[in-house]
Amino acid sequence: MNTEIILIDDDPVSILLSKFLLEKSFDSKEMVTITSFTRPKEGLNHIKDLLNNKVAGNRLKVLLDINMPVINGWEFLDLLNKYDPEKKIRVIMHSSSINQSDISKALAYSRVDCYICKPMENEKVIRVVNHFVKAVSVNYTNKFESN
Amino acid sequence: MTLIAYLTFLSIIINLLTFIMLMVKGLETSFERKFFIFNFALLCWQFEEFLLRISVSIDVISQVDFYLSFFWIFLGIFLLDSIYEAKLLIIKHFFWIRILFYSISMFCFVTYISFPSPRLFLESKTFGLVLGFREGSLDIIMRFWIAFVVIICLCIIAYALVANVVNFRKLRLFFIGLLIPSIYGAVFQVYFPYVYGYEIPGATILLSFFSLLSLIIFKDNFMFINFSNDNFNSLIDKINSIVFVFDKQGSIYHGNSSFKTCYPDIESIYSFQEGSNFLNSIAEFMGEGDEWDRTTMDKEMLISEERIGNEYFQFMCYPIHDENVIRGVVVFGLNVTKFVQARNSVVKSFKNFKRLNEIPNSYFLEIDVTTKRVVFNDRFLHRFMLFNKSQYSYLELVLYLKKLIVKEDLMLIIALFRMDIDSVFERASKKIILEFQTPSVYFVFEISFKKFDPHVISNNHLIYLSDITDSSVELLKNDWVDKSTPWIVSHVFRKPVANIIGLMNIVNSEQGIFESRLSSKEIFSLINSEIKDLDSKIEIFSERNSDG
Repeated sequence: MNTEIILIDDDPVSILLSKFLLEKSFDSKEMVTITSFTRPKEGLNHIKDLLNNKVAGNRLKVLLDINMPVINGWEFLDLLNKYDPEKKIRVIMHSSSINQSDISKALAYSRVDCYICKPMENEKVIRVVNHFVKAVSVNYTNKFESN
Repeated sequence: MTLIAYLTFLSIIINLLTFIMLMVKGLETSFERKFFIFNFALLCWQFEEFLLRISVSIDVISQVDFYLSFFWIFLGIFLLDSIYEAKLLIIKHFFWIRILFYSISMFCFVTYISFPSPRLFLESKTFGLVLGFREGSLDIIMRFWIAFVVIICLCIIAYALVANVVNFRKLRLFFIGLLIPSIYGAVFQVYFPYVYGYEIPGATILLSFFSLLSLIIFKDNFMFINFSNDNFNSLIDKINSIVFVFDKQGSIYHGNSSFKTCYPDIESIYSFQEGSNFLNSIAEFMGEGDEWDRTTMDKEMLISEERIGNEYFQFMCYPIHDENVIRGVVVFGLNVTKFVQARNSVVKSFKNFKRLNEIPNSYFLEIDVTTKRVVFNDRFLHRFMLFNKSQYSYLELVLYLKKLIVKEDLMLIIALFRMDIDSVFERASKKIILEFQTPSVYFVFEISFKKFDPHVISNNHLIYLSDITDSSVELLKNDWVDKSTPWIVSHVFRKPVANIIGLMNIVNSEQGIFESRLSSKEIFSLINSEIKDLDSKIEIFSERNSDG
């Protein structure tokens, strides 16, 4: 089953790092597509198009930044509910914030499985891959992976 | 009654018919009024002629002759006045010449009525009673005088025919119509009385036919006869533009020298080989029974662009109206060849300008102020698929934008469309920023307005639209100084720090550099920019705190 990881981050350097580490973590056998958007609305439109094209929501995974212009990560999550009310699309928050309130707020969203602090590193990538692609169960009681 | 009596009666009927037609027309022009008087004089003469043909006593005829027949003395002068009003010939000091002619006629009249002897009536085997002389009066001299005046009338018409001062094709018929009764009258009304002492009737019958014929010939042409005098022609011949006049049937009554150069030997507008685009525009007032609003008709003008050979003309067609009825058209054709060449050059340059200026994120949109539409070009539509039509009316666009922009911006757009949009384009510095935001769309446009010369492009207004979404987003990114310190630390300061750490992780491993497909130089360049970003943010933050 093909999985698509969608990176939503207004910072191109952060996307570059995440993409690089994610790509090298996957086996060539694994059918994973990584797409990235620096404008959240473009990412939303992409997800909407995929859903309209009958792509199953559970095959879409989102790595989402919080602080972005025009619409931020929270607004993105709210808008995503319009297209995917059943919350099949799972999200990992990926922010530079180490503020506890941001982490708590992120984990309060039922769609959000995990909170990862920037920068993306090898150990964090493994968790992302395991969670998103290899469907390793996540301990929801301790979703916060500290830096 | 004899045949000649019936014919005389018929001539009276014809003359009355002419009277009725003139009355229906309304006697609006001088020609019509003079012609009416001429016909009245003729009718009096006919009445007396008719009495001679029926069995009425000589006493009655003598009374009628005494009180009514003097009108024939003025017949020639009324005819001359009518023909002169047709403007076939323009003479200086005509007023004094007219005074002279009237004086002679009045002299004849005075001598006629002051002479007490009754007229002699002779009995003819063929015609019955015929008119003789009034013994001792100037009767025969008056007849020669009238003949002289009629010859002058014929000369004026002949001059108009030979000199071609008027392009009036029925003028020849008019000449013949007068020539026949004139010859008859000269022989039987002048020569016979002079030689035999009595006249042969019949001239009134021929003159009544001439009268009716004249009215039919001139029915629609009084207006155009006035365009055919030397003064007018010499004046418009000096104009270095095409000038011509035609009636509702398309017959051309006059064309100046420029017209004759462009359209040699053409008598109807429908024979034009080139330069006939104006036919489409004048069609609306060439129909039957058109009436124009009196208040606006003087301002009405139709313009067409014509090409004749290698030259371009702008034809301005002005309707000629008699009261509310359109009689024909006068056309002025300005030579605009140089202007058209310049315009083509500008349009070509403008197209090149548009092509060369297809810079990223910049678009020209047209506003057609005549049809009140906004026209999107293909490049814009391809880039911004939220617009799915190439043209929007003002109303359609406002309704469509309603779901894309905030209320304040929408009110601004409505105000732009509702006010005189020309004034918006007059203000070169006028710029507006429009933010398009929906759950799936975010664009920021900067719009400026450019007015173009209407002669250069028909859609004479342009909108220059720049997509400034990226720069707007950048501005939003820096909109953090008013946030709380923990938020700034987490989201602003820590962001470049996190990037630096991430990039350093790559640098620390040779395999990492290899796998990243970036050179170490490029990675260090990224680290450097992140450090500068951090530095500038710290600087902004410290400035805020020091201000506080």
